[in-house]
Amino acid sequence: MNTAKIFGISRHRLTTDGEGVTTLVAFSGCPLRCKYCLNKASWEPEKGRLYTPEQLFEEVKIDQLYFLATKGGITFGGGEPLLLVEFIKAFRELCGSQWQLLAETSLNVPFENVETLDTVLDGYIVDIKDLNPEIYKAYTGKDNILVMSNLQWLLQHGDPNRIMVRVPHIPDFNTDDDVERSKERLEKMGVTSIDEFQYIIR
Amino acid sequence: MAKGKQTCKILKEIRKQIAEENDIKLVIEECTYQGDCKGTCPKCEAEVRYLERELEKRQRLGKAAVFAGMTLGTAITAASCGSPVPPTPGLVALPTGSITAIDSIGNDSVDEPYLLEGDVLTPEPDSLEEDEWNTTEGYVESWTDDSEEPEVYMIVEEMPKFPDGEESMMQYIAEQVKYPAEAKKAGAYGRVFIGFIVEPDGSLSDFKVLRGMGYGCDEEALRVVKSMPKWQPGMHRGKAVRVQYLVPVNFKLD
Repeated sequence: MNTAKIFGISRHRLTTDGEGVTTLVAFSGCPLRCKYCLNKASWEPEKGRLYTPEQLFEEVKIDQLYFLATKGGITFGGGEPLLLVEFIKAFRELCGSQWQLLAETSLNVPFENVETLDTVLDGYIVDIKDLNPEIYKAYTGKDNILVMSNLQWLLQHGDPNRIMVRVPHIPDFNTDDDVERSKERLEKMGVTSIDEFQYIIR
Repeated sequence: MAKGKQTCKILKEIRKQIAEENDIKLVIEECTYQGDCKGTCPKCEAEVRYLERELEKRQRLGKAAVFAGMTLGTAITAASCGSPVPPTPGLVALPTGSITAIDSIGNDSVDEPYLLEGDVLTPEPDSLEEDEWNTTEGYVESWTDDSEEPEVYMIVEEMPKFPDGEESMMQYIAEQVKYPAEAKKAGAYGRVFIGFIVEPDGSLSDFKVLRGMGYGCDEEALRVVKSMPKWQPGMHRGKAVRVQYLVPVNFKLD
């Protein structure tokens, strides 16, 4: 059966993911092991409540009127939403074309997932970490080869404005110069929307 | 004002706008509840259901629901009486750092807090746990990132093209690729990503295997991509320019 473990649903997010009212749906399961991850629950694919696309749709359609009125919809996060290809495809069939479906993703997933879901999703919020492969690996435990090839493919195949890339200052892992280098390279690649921000360690 | 109350006000403003746009009579009373507000409550939800029913009635009479001209920005402005927040046209105008602002996730279906990276943290001292998501290993090189002139673009106004377009390119590749014996024997299948530069005269240069799969497939993919005819160059501001391009080469066993 087509199911997914979901460990969080957050309604009524305003101006967070684009122009409309959105609901965040957070999937369990993540390929990365970021040192500062706050959702370590998402590391365990078994954690959370099991949903079918139909059950999720039933639950989130309570806000359909807001979505339609403000061009909002669902932001799939996690965890790594792009691992849930069949689930998101089935969800799109249920919600129709008018809901905006976004993915908050690391893009560190097989290319096939990106290619398939690009016909389903309206936009991406890409958590890029740092473009320097050594920094990326030190922070996430994985290399960023897939991230870069997937990002480049997305930029080549569709409107670059559908992609927003988040570039964090990561204490003890990258410097301001590293962040600048990442931003410059992203701009050179054709990324039009970059969100630079600071991880805060308390 | 508490976040929940502010959310409630904005959603109320959206409901008000929906009602006005669609000639639905909606009397909105000022909320007097002083306790902790989650942004919505049974009374608010009842108003949404009422609007839905009214819109359905209109649709049955052949009247489509009207949401024209409605933006979250105007609702926020109206709800906040000053300090306007401009409408955010799509992802491009996302407010900086906004995504980190979530502090909890909440409805009945959830029992875990949902926080986004960067809010509060304690470094994980343990060694990193490996898992199985890593994909194919192989010969991989990354893009050279030097900034020698002339500049190499990745996205331009008019992207470079294989003579008859992308479909024709994929067909060309499929026809030219010979499955390496070694890969066949091992039952290996997958994709190899080849990067290259389309020069202003349409010739191709600087070929690289960006993601390989081994078994002789990387070399074969490289051979086929190198054999492609001249492309139509990428154009930027009326000029043919150098553009980096990425092509996946499939190796599928029948």
